[in-house]
Amino acid sequence: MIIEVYGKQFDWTARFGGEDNLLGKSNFKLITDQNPLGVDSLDSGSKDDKIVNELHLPVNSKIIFKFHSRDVIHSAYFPHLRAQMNCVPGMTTEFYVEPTITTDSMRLITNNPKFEYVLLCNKVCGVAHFNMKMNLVIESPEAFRRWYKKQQYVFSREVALPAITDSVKTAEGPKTTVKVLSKL
Amino acid sequence: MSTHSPDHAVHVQEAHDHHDHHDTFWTKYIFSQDHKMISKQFLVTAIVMAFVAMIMSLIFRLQLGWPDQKFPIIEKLIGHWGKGGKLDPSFYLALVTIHGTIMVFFVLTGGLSGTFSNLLIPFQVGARDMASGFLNMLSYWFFFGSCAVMTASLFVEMGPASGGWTIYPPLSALPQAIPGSGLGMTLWLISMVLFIGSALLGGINYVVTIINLRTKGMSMTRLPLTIWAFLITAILGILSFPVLFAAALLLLFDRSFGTSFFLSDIFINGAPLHYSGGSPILFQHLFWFLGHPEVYIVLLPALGLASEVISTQSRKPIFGYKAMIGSMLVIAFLSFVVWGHHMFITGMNPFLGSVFVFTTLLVAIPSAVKVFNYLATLWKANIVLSPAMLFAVGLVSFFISGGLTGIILGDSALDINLHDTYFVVAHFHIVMGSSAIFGMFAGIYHWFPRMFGRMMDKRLGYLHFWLTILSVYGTFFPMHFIGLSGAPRRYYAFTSYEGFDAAININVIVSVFAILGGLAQLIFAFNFFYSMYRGKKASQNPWKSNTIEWTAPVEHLHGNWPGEIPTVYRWPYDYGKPGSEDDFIPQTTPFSETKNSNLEGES
Repeated sequence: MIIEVYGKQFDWTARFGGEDNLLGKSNFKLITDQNPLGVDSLDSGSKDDKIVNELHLPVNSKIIFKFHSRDVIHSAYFPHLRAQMNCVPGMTTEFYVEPTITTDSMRLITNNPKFEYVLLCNKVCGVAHFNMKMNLVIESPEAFRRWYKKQQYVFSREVALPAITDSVKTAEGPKTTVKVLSKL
Repeated sequence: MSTHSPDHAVHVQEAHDHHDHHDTFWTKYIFSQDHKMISKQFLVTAIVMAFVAMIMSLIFRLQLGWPDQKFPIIEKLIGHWGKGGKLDPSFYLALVTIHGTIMVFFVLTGGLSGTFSNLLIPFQVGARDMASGFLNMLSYWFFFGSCAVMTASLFVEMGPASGGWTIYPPLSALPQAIPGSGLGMTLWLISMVLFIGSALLGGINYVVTIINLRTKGMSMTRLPLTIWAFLITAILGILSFPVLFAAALLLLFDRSFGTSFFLSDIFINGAPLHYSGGSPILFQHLFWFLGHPEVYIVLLPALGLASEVISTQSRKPIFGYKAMIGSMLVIAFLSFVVWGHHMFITGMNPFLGSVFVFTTLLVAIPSAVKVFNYLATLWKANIVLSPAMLFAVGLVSFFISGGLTGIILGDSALDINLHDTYFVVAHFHIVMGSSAIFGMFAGIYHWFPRMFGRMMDKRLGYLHFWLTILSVYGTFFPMHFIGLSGAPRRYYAFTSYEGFDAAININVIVSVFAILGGLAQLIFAFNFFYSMYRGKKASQNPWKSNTIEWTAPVEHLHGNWPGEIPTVYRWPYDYGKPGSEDDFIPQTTPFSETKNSNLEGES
């Protein structure tokens, strides 16, 4: 499973590659309020991508993370997974993890019913650096699938693709009334 | 033993005849070209800067220890940045940034090398002064200018640089990203350019003086280890500081002239920026190519001072003189091939990472050689526990306990988890910060009589030492656990998730010890400035030391020695030599006068 972790001042966003397991291309020039990751709607890989603000992961499966940043260097730090990677504007970094313990099991192990996995920012990135985090839920594959189904696509799937690009390029292109689903 | 103590009165008279010059206040105290005065200038400037940086650290320790409380004193100290006694989050970042910058560059680089290279190189190699007194003066005034600009940056409206002392772009390049990246960052870069100028002028001077101005008989293998340390440090600085200069210059271009060396594909404040094709990681390569040698620029002089103090106060020759020189050379060489261990998680190829792991772990070998040599020197010695000796032994302690965590952090697999956590903060504050400052304290207590002709108070020195070592370990040792629990550094507060609750409790202990350590430095400051004027008058050679700076008269003379510069006949570590009358034989004593103690081949 491929997931993009996207850092910006001062929150995290994650994008799932979808059924085709491909992350659609993105470009910082395409960023708008409705398209915070600058995903290229022309790219066929993007049509089934989903964007989330709380990251759920299925336990015991290999998850490839691709890291991006839109402004300054952030560092995606999963303290409980003992994993960390910088998010650098202008380039992609990556690693993969295989989470082995679900959030529920961790609550039993740590004897703490409020235990949460977290993703923190671990490279000073500005004034609210210390508040930049995203919750992480590791759960059974079935629970994950139920959750995933409820998440919405980046782009509404019914819309003709070229139109979306034009809307992004604004003025010259034909005005479209694309229903862009995003965060959010 | 008595041949080297000349008749003062006669020689002082001669010196006056030969060097008929009149110092005004300006040429004596301000624009002095005399290495002894310049060394004092460096020292006093560094002490002032160290107190500024220490007060900053105490302010943010208050915040970290008690994040929910208000401290009116903070508002008194920093005005609207601490409105209502609550530290502003952006000024918190400014404080950690400037604290780091001042401590690393102005105190432990400029202050340590500047003070002791200037004081000891001419004295211990037997020279009248530095090779170029003028460059030396220039070096101090560049340093002063750099300190002044950095201090001025504290007062600009948007605050000083706040991107961390490593000033990684794009954060440091974009004023939109953080307020401190406006004028404050520009001043930081200007200050650093001045500082590099100072370091290079000083470094070239040190190298030239050591190579060319050694007195008769002072071969390279008769140099005290202090001088070897200063020589290697100066060479490191000359090779690495220009790289930081390049990085600072390119960053200045990116900031002010719209180039894209370090910036690419950035969207900030609702608008895409024009930068394209640059790499923020390139900056990190350039920065750490200086940054890692810089660690040894800080540490080696401290180790050199400790070698001299430990041997003198153990009344034993330093164990493994040539191994000490060799290990410093190896450390110096390795310091240029390990910078990647600061960048394991920048997306570096894991294979390249493993190469940097290998070179990094190699540093443990020469470091261990040095540690065991210190311990072997102390072994069964008639130790004289002067305050300087205590600080030197304290340095060895930190070098061991901080070095062990270095092995952990140097391993890329472990660093993935520990990078940028408090574990790193604990590691480098112990192995680099505290070691080096303890070396500097050892140097100050030991050579204070050489600088000011008076002794520092011993009892206050002991009190200072014990309080300081207690608070250093009390402050930095618990930080290892905060880091292991996953707490990132440069966080204004650990309230973002409840997993940090334990860390918050430990932070109280850390802050208490930090405040205690800060108070202990007041004892030092009092002792230092009081003894300067009221201290007990020093004898010519108060520590019964072999090196030739103690053969010069207590009063400072232009040209250091009245009459001829003493000739050197032996290495500086003939302490406790079997068969010798005294337990020390100064370098100026010829072998012909010590027939009873000469070893084979010494005649």
